[in-house]
Amino acid sequence: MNIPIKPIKTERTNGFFSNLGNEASLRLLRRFIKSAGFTSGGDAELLASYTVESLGIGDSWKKAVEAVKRFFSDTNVIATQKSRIEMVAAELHCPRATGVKATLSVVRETEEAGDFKVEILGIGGGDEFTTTFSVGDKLETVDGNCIAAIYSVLAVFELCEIETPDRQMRRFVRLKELEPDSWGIGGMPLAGTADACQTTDFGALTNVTPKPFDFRTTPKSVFTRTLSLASGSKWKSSSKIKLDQFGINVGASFKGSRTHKTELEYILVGGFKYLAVKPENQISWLWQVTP
Amino acid sequence: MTLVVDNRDRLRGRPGLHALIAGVSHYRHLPEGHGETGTDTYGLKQLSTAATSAFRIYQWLKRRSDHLIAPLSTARLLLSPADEEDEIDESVTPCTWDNFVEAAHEWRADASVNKDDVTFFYFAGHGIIRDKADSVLICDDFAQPRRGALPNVVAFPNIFWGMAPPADTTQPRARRQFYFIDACREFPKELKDFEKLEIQSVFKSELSGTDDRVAPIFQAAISGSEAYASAVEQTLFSIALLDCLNGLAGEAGPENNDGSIPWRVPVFKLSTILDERIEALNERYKTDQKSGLVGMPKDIPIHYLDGPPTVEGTLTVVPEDAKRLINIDVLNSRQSSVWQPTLEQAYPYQGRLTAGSYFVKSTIREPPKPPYSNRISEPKPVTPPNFILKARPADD
Repeated sequence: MNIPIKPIKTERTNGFFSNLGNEASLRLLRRFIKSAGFTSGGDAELLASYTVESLGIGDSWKKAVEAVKRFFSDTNVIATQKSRIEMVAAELHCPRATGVKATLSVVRETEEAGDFKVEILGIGGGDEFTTTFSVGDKLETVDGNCIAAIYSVLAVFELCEIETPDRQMRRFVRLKELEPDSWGIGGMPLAGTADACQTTDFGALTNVTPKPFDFRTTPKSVFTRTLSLASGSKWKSSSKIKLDQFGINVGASFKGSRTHKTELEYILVGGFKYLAVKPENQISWLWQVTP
Repeated sequence: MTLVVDNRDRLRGRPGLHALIAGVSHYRHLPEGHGETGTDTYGLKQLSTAATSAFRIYQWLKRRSDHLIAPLSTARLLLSPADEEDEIDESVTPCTWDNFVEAAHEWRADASVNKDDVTFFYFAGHGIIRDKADSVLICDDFAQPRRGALPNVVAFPNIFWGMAPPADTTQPRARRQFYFIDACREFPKELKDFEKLEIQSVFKSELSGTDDRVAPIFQAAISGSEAYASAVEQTLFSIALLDCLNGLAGEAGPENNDGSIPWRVPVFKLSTILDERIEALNERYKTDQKSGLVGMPKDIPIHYLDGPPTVEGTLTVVPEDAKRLINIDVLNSRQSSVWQPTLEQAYPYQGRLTAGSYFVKSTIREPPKPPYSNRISEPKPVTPPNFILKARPADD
């Protein structure tokens, strides 16, 4: 699969640990708790009083900022390792019927550099990175094969340890650094649970306007239909990062948005009823086909 | 789109419940907001979970639609989530002042069709007061620059009195109204040197007419105090409220003709147990929140449970020394064993029982040791919010 993607720039912003002692640490604590896996009943109990905020003018947040800083200031790094973070840059879903073809193309109406922006949300309280990149003119697939363009970067992870007030040692993984010039690209066929066309319950979707195309009465014809993804549209995704030296995998969350309008052209064969939907937070249109 | 549930066709004129639910975490004109930062922000900060709290109340209403005091007829939802609040659909209508006013008018119009209808109002977000009886609800676009000292806020009393039955008695309006205000009620020191600031009205409220509503107002904070939220979970009030509605404030009602006992959550028990639950959350979060019930309350039910709720509680042995010498069996009203605490478990024994009547049976293990003897207690009630049972293998 030929996936023409080009990185434009990467920006870094302070994550949870870089903000310890600042008000922003409280806002980022929620993200840290989720990504560091501090979510069991005992962990939640331990951190409960540090997560309080006032629904008014109270200044309880000032005490909380100090308490959070004290709690996490003795974090020790006990190991580091490198691994690749993989993120979905584009998906092209193809209706499941022989002879069908799907094409994705970006419509650049402005000179703004970069087609897509993806935020790597702070892993384990590490800093956050926003990367901008562009894709080539077209992605194509046929016969119901859904595909994804994967964009990857080498990253340094730290295995951290902290002694919590209940005298237990707790460990978590933190993203330390992205390696410059290590960007990689690749394509991946989407199948099974990785394919949202197969995992999405079309009947249960709300706040979406499905696009039905009913060609059941014209079996021998071929039809071209286009759909689009507006500039500014957003999606969310996640992936697992393998950290063999630490003996664990960690989850990474991403938020993506597109700078330019993206057009999707589908050549559909007759004899089927097609239903296209674009669920909120999905990166692209999904398809269901019935004879 | 603020109207997210519309079951009016299905109800065909039967009484229903009309909900208006709003939650604001992201304030565009407060520091770190997405808009231009205002000058009169009174030290207010961005919130993390107010919108999630409102969203979960809405989800609960939808899920329990047919078990409410009247089936859910319409629901209007206004949410301004923080970036982190992932479970909320980003296409939801933000709770700006304009959107709030429009939704409130539509809500009131829906509630002005049948006097047997019910209304449900919930707001989670920042709040302040201008005097002790006041409650000012702060919308997403509060502190908009160059718009005066208190722009884009709602005086809750105006909502409450604007929902009073019309003076013209031929005009219907829902007579059962539930209000939940999940916000602080503190007086900003910046306002103390000024006359009471005027707030633009949402409704015109009539001075005449008979106000014969049942309209309890559940306030997360009493006058002059703070309400809190966990930045990871929800507001403490919404956690307590959902726990109570789901059975913690359950109460057995009068027996039905078919012999069944309905379990329901009535207003006064809800208020009492809400206070207790918030006290328990205060322990956990090291806060000092105090909730209150005002308005025009009467002891009507708000929610019917599917059956007797599950109740958490403890069982102790009296005297405690006897616990190594006896077997304990908790029997239900049909004398079937439902719980057998053992010595391996932490003491006092923690358990969960379905609300009802239970016997506590104490059997002496070999060899018998007077003065202990086998005993079975009188039936003991187990009711929400929690139980305390005692095994007594000896006379008192």
